[in-house]
Amino acid sequence: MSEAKLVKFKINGQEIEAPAGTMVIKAAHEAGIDVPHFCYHPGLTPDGNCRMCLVEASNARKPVASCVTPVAEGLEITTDSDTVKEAREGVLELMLLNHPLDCPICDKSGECMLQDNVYDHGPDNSRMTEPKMMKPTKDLGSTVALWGNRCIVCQRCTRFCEEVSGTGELAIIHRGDSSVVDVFPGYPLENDLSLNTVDICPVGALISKDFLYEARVWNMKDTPSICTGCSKGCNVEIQQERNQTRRIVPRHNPEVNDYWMCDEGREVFKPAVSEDRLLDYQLRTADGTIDTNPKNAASAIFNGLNQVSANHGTQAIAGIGSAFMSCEELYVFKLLFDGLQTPHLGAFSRPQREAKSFKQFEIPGDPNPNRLGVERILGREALEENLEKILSGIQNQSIRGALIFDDLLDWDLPAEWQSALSQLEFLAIFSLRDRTHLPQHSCLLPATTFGEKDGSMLNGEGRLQRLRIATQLPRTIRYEHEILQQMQQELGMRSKVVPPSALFKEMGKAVWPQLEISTIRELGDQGIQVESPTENPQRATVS
Amino acid sequence: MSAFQEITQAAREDERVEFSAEAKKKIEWIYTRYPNREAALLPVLRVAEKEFDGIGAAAIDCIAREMGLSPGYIYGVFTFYTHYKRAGEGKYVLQVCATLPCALRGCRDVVHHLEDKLGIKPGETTEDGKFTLKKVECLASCDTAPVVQINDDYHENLTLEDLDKLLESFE
Ligand code: SF4
Ligand code: SF4
Repeated sequence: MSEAKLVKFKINGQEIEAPAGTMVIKAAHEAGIDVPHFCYHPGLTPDGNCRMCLVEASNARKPVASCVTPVAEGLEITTDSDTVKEAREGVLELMLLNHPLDCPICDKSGECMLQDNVYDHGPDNSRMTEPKMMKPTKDLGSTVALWGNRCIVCQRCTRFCEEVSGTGELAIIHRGDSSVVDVFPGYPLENDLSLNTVDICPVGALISKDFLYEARVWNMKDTPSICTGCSKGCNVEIQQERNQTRRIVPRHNPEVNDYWMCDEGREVFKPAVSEDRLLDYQLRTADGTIDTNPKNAASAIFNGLNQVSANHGTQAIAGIGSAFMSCEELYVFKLLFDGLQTPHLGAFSRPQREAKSFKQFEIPGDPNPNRLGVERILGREALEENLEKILSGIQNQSIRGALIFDDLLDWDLPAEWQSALSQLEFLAIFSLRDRTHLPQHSCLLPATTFGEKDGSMLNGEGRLQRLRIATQLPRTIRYEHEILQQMQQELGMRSKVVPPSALFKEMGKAVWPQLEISTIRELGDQGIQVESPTENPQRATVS
Repeated sequence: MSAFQEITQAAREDERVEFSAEAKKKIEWIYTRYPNREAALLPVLRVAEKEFDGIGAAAIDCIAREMGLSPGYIYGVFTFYTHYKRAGEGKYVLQVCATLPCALRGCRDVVHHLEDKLGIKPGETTEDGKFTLKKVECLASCDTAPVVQINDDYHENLTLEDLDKLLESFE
């Protein structure tokens, strides 16, 4: 791609350079100069309809919309003159003519561009004495509801449906002050990206039905992390209040998900807050006594597995991880089972599904966030061949003890696995839910899940990205990697339990010799490409 | 597909309509006169208006399939304009211009007269399905105000007597 020519121009007297063709608003934002706006969104084509971004330009007599005005050599832009201020006030007064100002009960309150822009640039009163227009409040589909009165007709949502999802459900109907967003009767807003329209709606007109009245946004704390709903690894912000995740919203990463994420990804935190979540340890001995002290988990598992290998040899034990574990967890898991001297190492993954392709967004067919991590750390055979061998080993009783990870969100173990596992002499299982049908001698251990762990995952395109802790673990639960490390200690393989950042240091070059960074912090907020996407055969989506 | 979508799509299938061969030919010809399909939408809506005697959900669905546009987009364009005949409107659609010059020349009297005579308010249709009354914006015939457009014809410099005669002449 040839670089566009740089042009020199001025904003408020400040010299700025930007590639020819750049719109003034973008250049201003990049230079840290505030230009208020509504309809402009960097991920959509500019529309110039809301008039909020008016600025003065030396090549025009009247104020121009900076979102549709390209920069030009020698252009002089003014964003803070009296004319501009007056124009902004006028635009905002018109915008508030029919706006209900129901901020106290509006979900968008606190992150609403209309609130912010009126606060910063608006008039201090309204001359409107007529009754306000009333518009419908209704469902637009199964995920999104419309509060028509709040709509400022910026057309971000309709452009999203045209340009990004390509599904075209939303339209502005009627005209003038009757204009409002709607769907064509019988064609509701139903696409896998629908909730992005809620994120980009500058006001509270489009509302996520799932999040409605769940939290006041200013009470939530944001943590940058990644979605673990599939192999794409969309960059997200996890928003929690009082240690409970309330909402997940996309975070911009041009290399992965741009400004968007899918609707399903917004649900990945549900198992963490589910009422059925397993919170207690149940460490059962062969004679049926139950211990619930998490401190004893590592030795209980270790003794269980040891007993099996004493009775039947080390080859009689197996370890099954999952494609939902972080690279650090997988790494300790691998070392541990190497130490236990068994070749039976597998990993569960959710079955492939059809990839979905939208105009500007792909949802890959692999619903596992760290399948590639499993391939690199445990080996490709772990996901299929080894699993089959382990299953038949359990069925023919050559394998008698196992440690498995059952943390794949809503995915349940297939029936043949459930019955096979109940035949074992000893089973340790990290799970998100209570499990029945366990052998007498077993350890049922709560698994950790989305938003709770620190570490890294390798997405389907070979990009290593950072998971961060948004919510602290429920008090009763310990991290799996700690328990695995304690077991390593019992084997004499590790002197002390270390955090994931230290595991990353150990793991990094051992797994990716060409890795240029040594600490997890260096992954930053956008991750780094550790493998070339085209060399990666797994990239091909399953049809 | 969610339950929501299934129900609404099923409803839509029941009411499906299609363009006649003749209308299709006309539409093909319209396409040749515009740079792209979006641009041809207004004249195609005109064809549909005649074809289906007013445009409703089924007609928009049919146009969407014909033109490869989303029904939402067509719905947005269609509702922007007041001058297309909507499904369910009467045999005669009386569009009274209510913009300033007509207002100065007595269009309110015209509207009130029609309201009394037909027993309906603007936006309504008589029970026998014969007349629909609408107040519309400028019909671009200010020099002959007051103006009423009835179906495709303009009736200009109207007096209330003219109006009565006109109404009687309709079947
Ligand atoms: S619903 Fe929101 S995004 Fe859509 S046009 Fe209205 S204000 Fe803009
Ligand atoms: S595409 Fe995948 S990674 Fe992105 S939000 Fe959806 S489930 Fe999560």
